[in-house]
Amino acid sequence: MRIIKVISIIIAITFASCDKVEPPYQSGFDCLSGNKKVLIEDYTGHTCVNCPGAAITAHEIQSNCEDRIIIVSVHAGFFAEPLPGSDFAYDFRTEAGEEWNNFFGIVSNPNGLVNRVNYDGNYVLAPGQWAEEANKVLGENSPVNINIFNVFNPSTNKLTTKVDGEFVGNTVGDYNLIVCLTENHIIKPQKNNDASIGVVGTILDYEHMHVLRKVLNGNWGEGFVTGSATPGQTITKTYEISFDGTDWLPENCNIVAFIYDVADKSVLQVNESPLVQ
Amino acid sequence: MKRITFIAFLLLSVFSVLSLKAQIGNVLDQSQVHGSFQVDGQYYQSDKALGITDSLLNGHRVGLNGFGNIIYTLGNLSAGLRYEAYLSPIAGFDPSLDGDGFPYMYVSFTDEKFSITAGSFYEQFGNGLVLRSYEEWTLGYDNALNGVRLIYQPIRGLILKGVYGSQRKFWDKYVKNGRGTVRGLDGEMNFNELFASMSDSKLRVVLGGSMVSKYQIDANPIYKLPENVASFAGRANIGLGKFNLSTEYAYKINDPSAINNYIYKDGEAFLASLSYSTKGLGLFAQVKRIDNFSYKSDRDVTVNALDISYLPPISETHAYALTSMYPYATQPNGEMGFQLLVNYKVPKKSKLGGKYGMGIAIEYSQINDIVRDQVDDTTFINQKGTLGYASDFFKFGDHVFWRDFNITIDKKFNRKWKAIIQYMYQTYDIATIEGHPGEPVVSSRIAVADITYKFTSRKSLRTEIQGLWTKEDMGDWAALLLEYTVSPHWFVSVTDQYNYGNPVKTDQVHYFSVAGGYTRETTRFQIAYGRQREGIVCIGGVCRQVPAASGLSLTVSTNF
Amino acid sequence: MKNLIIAGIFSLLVLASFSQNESQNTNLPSVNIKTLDGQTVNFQSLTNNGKPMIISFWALWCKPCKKELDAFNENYEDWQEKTGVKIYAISIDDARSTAKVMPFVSGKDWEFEVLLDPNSDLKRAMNVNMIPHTFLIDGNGKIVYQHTSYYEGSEYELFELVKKVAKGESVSEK
Repeated sequence: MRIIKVISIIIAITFASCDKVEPPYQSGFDCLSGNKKVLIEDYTGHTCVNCPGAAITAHEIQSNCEDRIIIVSVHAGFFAEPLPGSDFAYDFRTEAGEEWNNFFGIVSNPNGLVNRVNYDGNYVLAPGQWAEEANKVLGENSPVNINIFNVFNPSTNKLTTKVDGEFVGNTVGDYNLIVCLTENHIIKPQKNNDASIGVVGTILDYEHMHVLRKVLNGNWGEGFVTGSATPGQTITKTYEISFDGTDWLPENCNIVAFIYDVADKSVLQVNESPLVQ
Repeated sequence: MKRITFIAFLLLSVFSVLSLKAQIGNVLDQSQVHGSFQVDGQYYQSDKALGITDSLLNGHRVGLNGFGNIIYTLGNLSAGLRYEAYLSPIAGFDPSLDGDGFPYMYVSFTDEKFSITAGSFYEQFGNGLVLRSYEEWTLGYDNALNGVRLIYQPIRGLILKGVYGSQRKFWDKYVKNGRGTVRGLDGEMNFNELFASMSDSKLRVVLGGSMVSKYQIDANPIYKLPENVASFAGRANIGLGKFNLSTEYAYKINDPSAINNYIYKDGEAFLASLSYSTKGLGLFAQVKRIDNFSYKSDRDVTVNALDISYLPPISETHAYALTSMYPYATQPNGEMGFQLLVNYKVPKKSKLGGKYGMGIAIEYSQINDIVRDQVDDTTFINQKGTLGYASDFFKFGDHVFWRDFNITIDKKFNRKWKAIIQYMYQTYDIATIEGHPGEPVVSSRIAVADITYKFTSRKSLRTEIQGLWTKEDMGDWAALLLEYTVSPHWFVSVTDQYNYGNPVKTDQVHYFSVAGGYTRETTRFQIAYGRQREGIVCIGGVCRQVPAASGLSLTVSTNF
Repeated sequence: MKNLIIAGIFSLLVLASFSQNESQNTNLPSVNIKTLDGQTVNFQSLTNNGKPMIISFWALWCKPCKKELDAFNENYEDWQEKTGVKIYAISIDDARSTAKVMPFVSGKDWEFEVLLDPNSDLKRAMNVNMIPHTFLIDGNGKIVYQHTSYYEGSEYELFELVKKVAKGESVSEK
């Protein structure tokens, strides 16, 4: 009989460990503590059927903290390859994107990086893990704030961007700055399998957002802080890029600038600013 | 470098064994050590016709998967460990396997009533609907539980099991607040053993029930996710004379995950099969329904790992190259299907059966989608963060995922000749099964003749002639195999698979390969050179995509 | 470092295994398997009254396994008459097809007993890498011979060994 007792206790415990969640299923972010902004890099491809779902995930996170979450869609790897003669002939890929894709070990899509944070050397986070990681970052403080000043000159078709790093805390170590150009509202085909987003199969007029177009200062950026920086210090870098020979629409473009730790690649601070206000 | 270490280690073991074999006596008379190892290696070369260029190979010329397994027993005690190395993984295996180490170690004590295992273990409750940990070398799949297992048989006919642990995920270490933990209980009662009055009954009854719960922290700021997700299953196996009924039903509470698009609907799985068996005749029918039953110990994972549940597909596992070209894989988000099977042996010495009899097998299986209805007017079907959908348990969806009708005849004509003839008609929905929307539904007819001729009692030649005809996907295929065996040690074979009907002219490729093997007792060497077709290898519900490759492959396997 | 230690233990165990006296040390493991109608039996409890036993691992999806068992079946009556040998065919089919094993066996009209190892527990305990894999057990329940793969005619080789075992002779192939 003792057995039965033990068994019924175990059964009771198992039943108790059962969390039935009642609607509404949503809860909220804390966008107010901390000053660090979040960089979500969505590694994606136009023939990856699960990628529209991941893009929605990123937007959903962004909609919770509009100003503090910045998305870059990196088209790279197998699913981003152009397929000549098909709906997917367009090449979204960039040299930097391909290099990052290999470096961070993204072997399947959709997958992503949040502030290039790594766990035990593993940088890649599945879309379902982005919100959790983003929320962690939101609570953190960064010793630096980034300001971006864009001037686009239609007559020369050139963009001049000035990036300021304003230090509010002590920083020790080596840090690089990467400045990227991204573009919104690119209407091109995309494979999809989520009926709540659009037709299952190929969405011919899919709106691609936050597409990485170009890194202005090399795949891994250039040195920004060497050794240390102190509060009150401001470091400025200026870049110029020509839109000649591209299909980029300046009114849809943004500059995303981020400062990262050279040692572990983790992002210290990030900001985004449109080309045309 | 690691590869060299691994090979050196194996060689060293073998050499030292040979030299020491005679010298060391039995240290412990009762103790036994047994084990096995296997090495699968591939050398890749570029192949223009397959689109494999040197830059694509990018230096990855060698793939090597190997394992060594050791089990030590001393009376009631047993301990084991397994070394695995993927340096680097053979093409088609998950790249996350890259590396080597000891993923599997255990110690266990077993006596008549009681068994306890600490470390890694494989366990299955019932059909595995709510819990199955297993390992499949050929797929690179291993979801072993690491923790503790108790098995208790208080009386004959009653078995109780309890498990607690976390699952293996490639080489990732378990970290706090990472993947979830799994705990489960299972009980099984055999009525014929439990009750003396039933011990001689024609009615055989085995009933079982399981409860499994997984725990994973909810750190998601957007959704309120359940941290404890429980599932329950009940099963019965009832035999009456020549009839046997086997059934299991499983239920799971809300479990939003990356696989089901984070919906909060409860899940269900149901399996039932009925068979009739008599001398020379076997009849079998089964039905299955799966509704939102992906159950993993990490809700964010979509790769082939960390499955707690095992959802067996109910299609046949076909064994020939072209019959297994389009294999079905269970759709954990929802499917409904049935299967009918007849096995008949035309008796010996009858007109049709001849001297040796003749076997006939006929099978039909069909798997459809389930029906999904909106939960309310404002919610899309399967919309993230909602109840998802409602589904009628008894309704088949219109969308056919899979259909297979096949007939197999095998006959031995005389001492020299025997043959197997197979014909099938298959429908395979690439879009659903492989997750590539927009791709076609493949309807194919496949025929196989497998003929064996015995020259002497030890030497024989086997020929397979196969054809696959379809208008979709890659079009028509033909395949030929010649295999010469000298029992019990040697075989050589030549195969060619020819995609002559490919609509793209340049893809009308011959996949030619030669292979040879030597077996002595349990040691087997096999070497093959040639092209390997792109394809899918499925075992159970898990599939692995194998890319096209060209080169040399070698397998060495032994046990001791 | 940890791996190195484990590797050391591992090699020692390999050493020990090769050095053990084979005839004394190859008992059958105590693992629960199932009969075709779902009853549980302990593998260790299988006996044949001091006569030899053949244990053969197979699965529905394995063509050579089925050929081997067909060949056994053809000769079974004859073999039993001569040596009293008993054959157990252990199916490692998983839940996908365990229920199909019984009607398949009936359809084949195999006369030996078929048992189920649905989660490969016995397969692992017996260190079976690939199937078909066949063991020959002597009258004392010790494994005296095993082989993997099946080629046409291998059954005769096996039967020669069965005859030796039935007479109580040693079977070492060397």
